[in-house]
Amino acid sequence: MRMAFFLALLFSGLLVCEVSFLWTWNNWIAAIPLLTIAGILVMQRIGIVEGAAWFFVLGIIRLDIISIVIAFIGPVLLVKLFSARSLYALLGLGLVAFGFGIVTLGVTHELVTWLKDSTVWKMSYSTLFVQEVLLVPGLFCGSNLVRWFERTIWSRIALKPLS
Amino acid sequence: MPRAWYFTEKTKKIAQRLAVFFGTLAVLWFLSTISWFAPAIHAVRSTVYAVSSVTAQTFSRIFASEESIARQRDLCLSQLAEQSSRAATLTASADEVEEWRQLLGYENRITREGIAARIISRGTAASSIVVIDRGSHDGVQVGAAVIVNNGLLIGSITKVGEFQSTVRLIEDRQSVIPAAILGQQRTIGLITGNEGAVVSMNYIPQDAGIVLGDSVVTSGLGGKIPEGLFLGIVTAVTTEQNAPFVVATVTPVHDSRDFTAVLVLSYAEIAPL
Repeated sequence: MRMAFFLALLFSGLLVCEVSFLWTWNNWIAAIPLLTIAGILVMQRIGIVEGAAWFFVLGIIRLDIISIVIAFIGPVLLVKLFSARSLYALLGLGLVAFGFGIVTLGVTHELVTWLKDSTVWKMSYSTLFVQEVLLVPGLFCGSNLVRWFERTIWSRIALKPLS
Repeated sequence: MPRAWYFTEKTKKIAQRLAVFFGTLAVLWFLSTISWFAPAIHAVRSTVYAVSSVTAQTFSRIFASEESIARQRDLCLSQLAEQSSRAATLTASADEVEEWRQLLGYENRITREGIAARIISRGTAASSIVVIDRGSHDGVQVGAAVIVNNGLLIGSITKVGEFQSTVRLIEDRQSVIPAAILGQQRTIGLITGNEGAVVSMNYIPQDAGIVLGDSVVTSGLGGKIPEGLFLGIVTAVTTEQNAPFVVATVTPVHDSRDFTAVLVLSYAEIAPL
């Protein structure tokens, strides 16, 4: 219960950080998928349900197909393919789920004919691949941060993983 | 009897967790819409944004390469040139709008029909003529008065083409405009050009009693140029002994080179007696 409340606050805080902080940078830093990284960490380290809810809310807020896809495909990947709680499993989960989202988005845009020649789509396509690459260092740093958090502060404030 | 899957303890816990997660987000969203809480959220976001802007600027200054700085400088210079060009265009447009506005205001006060025209060509300094973009097709007549601003005469039409006309400015040597000095008494004469900044008013009787600073307007004689169009003020009076007339130097209050928009005042044709 307390964890869910904490995650909601974390989600809001990271959303503010991403929109108001990262997006004001006009280079690759603006492309860092902060909420996606955090969501994948939540899905692996805290709980499948919380992770799925995280991506579902993210997809609804941004009207983002990729987040919605991750919300559905992430739990399946986590249970069937990347069930280990290792760094490699985390990276695999993040890259495959995000890649699956990109492919789904591409197929959707191919099916919707009026979006095929859209300049916005071409721009976002390159940004998405940059984000896919940025997932690797992001998940690596995030994983270490969460492990440190679990060892130190986590137990003191009694925020124990529920799943 | 086995319990349904949605009644198990695990399902209940999951439902509780989801309810807390979504409920907290919903409460936060609801709070952001309340007038007394929204400023607090806005303050947090603007603070984060300010921190980000300062950090981003600092980083870009520290790590920007010379090539990047040169590129930014070139960009700034090109933008400056573009803005300067745009500002000049806007200033010119504003001046023109003001000219048209004053002409329109004057046209509304007179009974004659005015034909709005634009100066499209200027003659050499020796000729003092300009060409406007209206001609007989638009109703321009030879001898019609050409005014600017709020009723200031700058010349008269000397030649009319189908779509353009030639205007002889009052400073042209061949220009002759019937005029009157509004002094203690109304004194009539003829304004002729001197190819300079001032014009001369001739055929003024010796006993006219002209005072420096008197206003000079058109007299309306001849019928083509209406009465009362302002020409300038008397700045000097030249008197020669034994001459029947005195010559007044009149300084126009305008410079025709400052204007691009003019109004041609049509007149009614008078049948010869």
